Amino acid sequence: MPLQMILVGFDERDQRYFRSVLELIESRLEERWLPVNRVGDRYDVMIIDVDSEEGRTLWERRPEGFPLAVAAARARDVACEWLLAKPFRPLGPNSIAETLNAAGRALASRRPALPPADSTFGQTQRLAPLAGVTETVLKAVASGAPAKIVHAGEVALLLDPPGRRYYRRISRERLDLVLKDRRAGTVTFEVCPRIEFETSIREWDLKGKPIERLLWLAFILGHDLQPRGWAENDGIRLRHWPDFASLPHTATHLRLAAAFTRHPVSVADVAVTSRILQGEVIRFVNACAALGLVEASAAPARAAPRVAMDEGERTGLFRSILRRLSQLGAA
Amino acid sequence: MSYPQAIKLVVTGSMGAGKTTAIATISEIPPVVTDVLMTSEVATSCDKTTTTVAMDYGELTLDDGRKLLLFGTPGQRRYDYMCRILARGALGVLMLVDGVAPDALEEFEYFLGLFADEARTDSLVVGVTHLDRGSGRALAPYHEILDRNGVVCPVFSVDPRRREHVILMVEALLATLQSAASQE
Repeated sequence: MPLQMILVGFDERDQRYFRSVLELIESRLEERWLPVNRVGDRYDVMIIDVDSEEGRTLWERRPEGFPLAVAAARARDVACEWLLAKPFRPLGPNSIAETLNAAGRALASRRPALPPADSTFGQTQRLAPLAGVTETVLKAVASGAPAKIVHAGEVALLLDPPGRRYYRRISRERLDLVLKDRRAGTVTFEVCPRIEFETSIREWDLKGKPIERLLWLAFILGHDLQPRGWAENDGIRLRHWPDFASLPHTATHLRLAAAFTRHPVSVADVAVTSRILQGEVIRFVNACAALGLVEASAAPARAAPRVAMDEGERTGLFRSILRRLSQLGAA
Repeated sequence: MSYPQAIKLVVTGSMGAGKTTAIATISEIPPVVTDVLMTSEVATSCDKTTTTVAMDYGELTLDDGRKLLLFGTPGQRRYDYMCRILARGALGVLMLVDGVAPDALEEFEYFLGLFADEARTDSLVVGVTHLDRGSGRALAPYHEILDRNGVVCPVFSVDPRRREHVILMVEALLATLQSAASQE
């Protein structure tokens, strides 16, 4: 089961070096580690270069306990539980191997029963539900009344289910972190009177966004792997593509949308043929279901398309175009 | 399938939808435009003063040296013949619709008919523009039209001035083409 990590605040040279070392010391690591690229992707460990401005800011604002944050720093006196010393060394104290092995052990002890769907492609065992932030957000929306979502003792979000809006009081990055929080009970909601609700919005000068965006984020970033409104063996088809122009997304989500809009296909089948972790596929389908886009049928699903894995000229051309677009987007 | 050195992508749709802008947003060269001043006869809902009469052109150079050629069609129906000429041999079509035009849905359905081949072969992506002006319609009516015509394709609410939105449309096109090809 690969553990996923994200590097934040690293300059390009350090990132390249880190990844190269990671490959070299693979046999010395107790777990398989997979670096992910975007904050929107799921990850277990965030490694933050606290010597950079971006990293320092994020480090100072990270929510307590979120999921596991490692500080990468030249100084050895950084106040943190996990320190990766710079310059990076493959082995030895505060090295990449030592830090990742320790982090892996800590993660294993924190979540002894990870859902199997996250661990292999296309497994179809019963999926264990994980209560958490997603559940809380769903309950708050289902309450049908204005509500406050509270995280770490302070109001993080205001929800207006009748008006289909939500209001964010915390930064977008922090919201991502809150929604990824694996611990149950860290987020609560309380219904509040409409007058108090509107006073808070005015006082805090908050701008509303469609509540569908919050539901999307809650499923995409959260850890809820229980099918919502569909069953594991159902053929799943999307009525329409999600409006990705207004929803945070990754290239994987585009591939999944393309796979699910043609014909009903099963989640397991798509996971296998597209080589996307089944947990990611479940998150995507759940997020689409929350937007009312999913049609589930008990009829036998057709074989899923093999998504973006052939090595022909088309793939080469498409990759070339995607690389150019990616450069363009970063410019 | 063998791809040539130059890959063509067509940006089409109704007048004032933002086709010229979309090309300018991602083209690495200053786009070639064939805009002329609009007459009062055609200057209707949109607040622009010029319109494309032949085509717009922009391009992107890929890392293997190939060119992605971006062709924009005229928005007026009198130049429809140009649409089919430009679409010949194209990788796909990005269709933009002015979401606040009074006849937005009629225009959408019309262009859908014009590019029925592309719609049928999963090489069409739709972007509804100007919805941020506040009086735009939601995407649901566009989905209904697609359903009625038996077409499944990505539909996004886009701002053609935003690079990430134009890029999204191209990425979605590639994803649908790839998915379709893998089922052949």
